[in-house]
Amino acid sequence: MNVSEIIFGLFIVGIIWGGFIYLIIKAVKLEKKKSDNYGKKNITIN
Amino acid sequence: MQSEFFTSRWGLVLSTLGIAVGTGNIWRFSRIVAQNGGGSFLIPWVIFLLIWSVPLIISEFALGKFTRKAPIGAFIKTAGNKFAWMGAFVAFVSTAIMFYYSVVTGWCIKYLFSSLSGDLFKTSNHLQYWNEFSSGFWPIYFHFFAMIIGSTVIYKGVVNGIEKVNKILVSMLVVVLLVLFARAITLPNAIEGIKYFFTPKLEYLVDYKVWLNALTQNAWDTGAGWGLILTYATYMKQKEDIALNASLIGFGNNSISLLAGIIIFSTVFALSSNDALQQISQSGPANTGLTFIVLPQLFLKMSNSLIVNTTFSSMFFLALSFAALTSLISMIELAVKTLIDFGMQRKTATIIICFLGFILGIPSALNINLLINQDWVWGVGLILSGAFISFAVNKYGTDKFRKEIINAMGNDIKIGRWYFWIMKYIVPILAILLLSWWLISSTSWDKEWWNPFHRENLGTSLFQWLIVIVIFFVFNKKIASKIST
Repeated sequence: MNVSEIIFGLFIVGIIWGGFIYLIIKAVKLEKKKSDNYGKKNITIN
Repeated sequence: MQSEFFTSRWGLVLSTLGIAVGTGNIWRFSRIVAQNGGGSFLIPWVIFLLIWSVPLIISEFALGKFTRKAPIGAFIKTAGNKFAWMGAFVAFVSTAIMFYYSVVTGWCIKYLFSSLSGDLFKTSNHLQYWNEFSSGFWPIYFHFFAMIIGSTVIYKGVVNGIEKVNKILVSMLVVVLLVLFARAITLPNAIEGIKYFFTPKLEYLVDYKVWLNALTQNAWDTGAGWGLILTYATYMKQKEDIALNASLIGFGNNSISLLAGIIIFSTVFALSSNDALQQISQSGPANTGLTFIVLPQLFLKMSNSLIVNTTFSSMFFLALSFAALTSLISMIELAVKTLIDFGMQRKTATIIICFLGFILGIPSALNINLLINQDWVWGVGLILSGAFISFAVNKYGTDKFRKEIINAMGNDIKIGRWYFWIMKYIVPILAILLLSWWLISSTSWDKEWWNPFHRENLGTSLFQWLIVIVIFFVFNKKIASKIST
């Protein structure tokens, strides 16, 4: 494989797999934030 | 009133990913890549993921969450009573696909059993093996088996059925594919396959057919515009996000296609003594050539140990069966949810759909030409479904839909004005282009292109679509009045 093929391969894999992994991480962080906020709210109410 | 909801974001995402990931990711994607210049195909494929699949998946999520109804009710609530027939068409297309997709799921299960029992490797003539199986009565038994499994899941409901099963099957599917991936890329000469898969041939990028094939692949294999994601979205909680989840489905689905593509290209290039590219490109009966004829021959050559070969072959057919089953489950759910919207109980509706699905799938199980006909007619019909969904959004008011429904409470990502341009202009234009291309192309491969009783041509598509559309159009008022929005 020459350099341009490697770059192209990494570009496609990067967009699709990289994009997917980025979205998963974003969703995990948001879920964590939501559950933290929910916990804080409960503490305040209590 | 909605009584059941997915318990978490991950339950919803895995279930919806189960819709999107089907046999098309595994056997169709590799074949289309091989036929369309390898790496060159991947460029339009990524572009259409962004301008066709993701916007339509966002729309389906929003329609389901907003209306809490299957396609008919969703169309009534957004486009108005006059367009109930459009929702009915969308629901019918996916249900018609269910009738023969259950047969295809049955084939995958049959090959899983044959592989596990070692029966698949008792012969070296896999074409004959396939012909003997598909021309007999066995496809009916496996079709029945697939319908029973799918209906049992739906019978158990959203949380205990759909969510629980998809969490297990989709997770296992990814694990199995990762194991196969690790084995495939370490086969000698696998690099040649990967090289072809990722090498862009720029001359292919000026060929409009490559672009249309990339759009078709996105339309058929991401589940966008089928009405299935819309149906699952009716069970998402009000606080649940739309845009991020929709993007996860689009990217997740295409990630799995990429994974499956690397597995197939590496395996075929490493183990094939003939022309590897030709083997991947050949479609065979009902596009099954690569999966049911070529791959079993190649698994036989994987190593000198029959146990190793059987293990990897079984893992492949296990992944294929899981992919098919999770999609079949969603098709059954769409039909069941439609009956629920008409006032029926889930359990009664499931029994009716299971029975109808089995009976109406028998012709496709017995006659592969009929299956090919149905795959052609309703596969292309899906493009029309996608266009109808974009129509419903536009009729409601594209920007109003974006601001009031998509960007409403619970959304993690706000969708910008680009959505307006894509749904208002790009999706309808792409749908018209794609539909025209497929229908006009079909006149070139059949001299009697007008004959409605031929297998794959313009005549049979228009004939069957018209029958369905005219019936729904005539009964539009009655259909609309029976569904409470």
